[in-house]
Amino acid sequence: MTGHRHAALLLLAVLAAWSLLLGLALWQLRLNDEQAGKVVVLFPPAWDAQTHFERTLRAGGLVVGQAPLANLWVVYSEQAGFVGRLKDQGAWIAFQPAPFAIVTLGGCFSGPGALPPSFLKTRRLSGDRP
Amino acid sequence: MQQSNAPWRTPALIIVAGCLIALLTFGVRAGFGLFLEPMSQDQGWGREVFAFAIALQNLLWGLGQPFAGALADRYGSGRVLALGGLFYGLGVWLMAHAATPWQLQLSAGVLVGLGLAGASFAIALAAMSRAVSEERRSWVLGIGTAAGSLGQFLMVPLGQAFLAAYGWSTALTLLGCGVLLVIPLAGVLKGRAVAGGATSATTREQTLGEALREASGHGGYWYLTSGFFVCGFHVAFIATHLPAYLVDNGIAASTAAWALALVGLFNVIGSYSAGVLGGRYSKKYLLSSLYLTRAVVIAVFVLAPLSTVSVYLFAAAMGLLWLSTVPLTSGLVAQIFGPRYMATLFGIVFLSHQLGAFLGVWLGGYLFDNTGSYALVWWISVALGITSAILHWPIDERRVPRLANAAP
Repeated sequence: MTGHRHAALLLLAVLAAWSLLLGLALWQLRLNDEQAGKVVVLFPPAWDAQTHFERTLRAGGLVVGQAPLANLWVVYSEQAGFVGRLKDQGAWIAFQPAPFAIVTLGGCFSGPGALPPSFLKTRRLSGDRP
Repeated sequence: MQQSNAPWRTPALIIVAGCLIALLTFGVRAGFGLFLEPMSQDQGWGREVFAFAIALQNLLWGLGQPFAGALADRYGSGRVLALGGLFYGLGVWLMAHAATPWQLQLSAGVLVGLGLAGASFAIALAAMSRAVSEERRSWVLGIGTAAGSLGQFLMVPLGQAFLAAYGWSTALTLLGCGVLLVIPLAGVLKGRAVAGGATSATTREQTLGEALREASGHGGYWYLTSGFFVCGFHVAFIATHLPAYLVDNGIAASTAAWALALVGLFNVIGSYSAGVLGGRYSKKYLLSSLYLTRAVVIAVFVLAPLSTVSVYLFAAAMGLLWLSTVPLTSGLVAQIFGPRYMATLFGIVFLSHQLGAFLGVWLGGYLFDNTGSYALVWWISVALGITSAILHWPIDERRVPRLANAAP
């Protein structure tokens, strides 16, 4: 191990293994064409936000919010076959929303790594500036 | 100072194994918070059950670290890492099957806490540092710390994907199996520190008790220990309370979450860079500068108008300064006292860090509840940063006379 190049190679190897494991878990979470409700949908990255909105509307759904990536959206429809219609409109794949909630990281050596969203919601809004 | 190695245990292999151990052990625990809600809901527990188990885990990790370090220095890093990995993996696996609060506290609290003490990066870093020459040591400590930081960054989304795909029990089982990989990896770090090279004559004679007496009689060791307390205070307070502080002040929760993600990402860069810089420049001055910069960054953050941009800038800056203290602090321990009893001596310094972390989390909540604001804790953090910068400045970072006299 002689330097930065080896560190970079180790990083790439770790990222490759991580991507594989994450990919396998996400593959388990893909939704079939018949499913409806709130889903996270991945559109081609070259499309702009307006196209994402239009394609979702054409599939009979509504955009509920944006996920961490620009081409990843949380969309909603109660009509069965929503996922299939999204794919007909050019979407690549749809997932359950759960794994795409933006998570917090564990702090150094401290306590629980993620604060549940409900914890944040319960904090009172106050003028808490020093 | 070398480990007693078989020929196949090359420094490169030892570094890779040490990095993977740091990545796994640091990473898996970073995602425990994800399990708070699903476990508590499914089992019908109040959140204090889970929170107490994690608090117990952190306490035992901190208290156990010096003892695990002493065992590693006495019987070999590989054995302690393997035993720690077994405890940790077993703890996570039992956590997946915990049906009562005391079972959770035994698994997630006691077993994982003791496992972390045995298998965490403090032991791995000591073993890695012995595998290379003194000139490469700081870099090795940097890459080991960066690997742990990377684990925090990568394992949380992976844990969340596992949680969503397989449910909390299976997700924990999978993570527990991942932790068990520490056991074969520990085989690479097998071997106890033995004297070698120019320092053999004197180092061979030193016992653990003598090493402890030597360190306790060195003012720099106390300064380092006190300074690392501040590191724990800062990072634990910010990691735990920053999201709530931001949401309280009208910043979106997603921005708060992204801010911590940015801290994690820049932490990898900061840790690695600190290791590289520590090999070229004075570690004590780097540490002083680092703590002073933390104080300035926090002061500017609380004084400047709060916005999404200011939050992201703060997160990136704090990320760079986050675990960058570790390669420099552990590197100073090895530099001053030699690597022979580094696991023990750094374990004691680390205990101080954990006490600071406990106080940072607790005081943040306590003062918020009593004053309705985080203002006081932010300014305490600034004062502590300045204090730590001052504490590191006078450290005598030359090797102790025992090592200096033995040098060629």
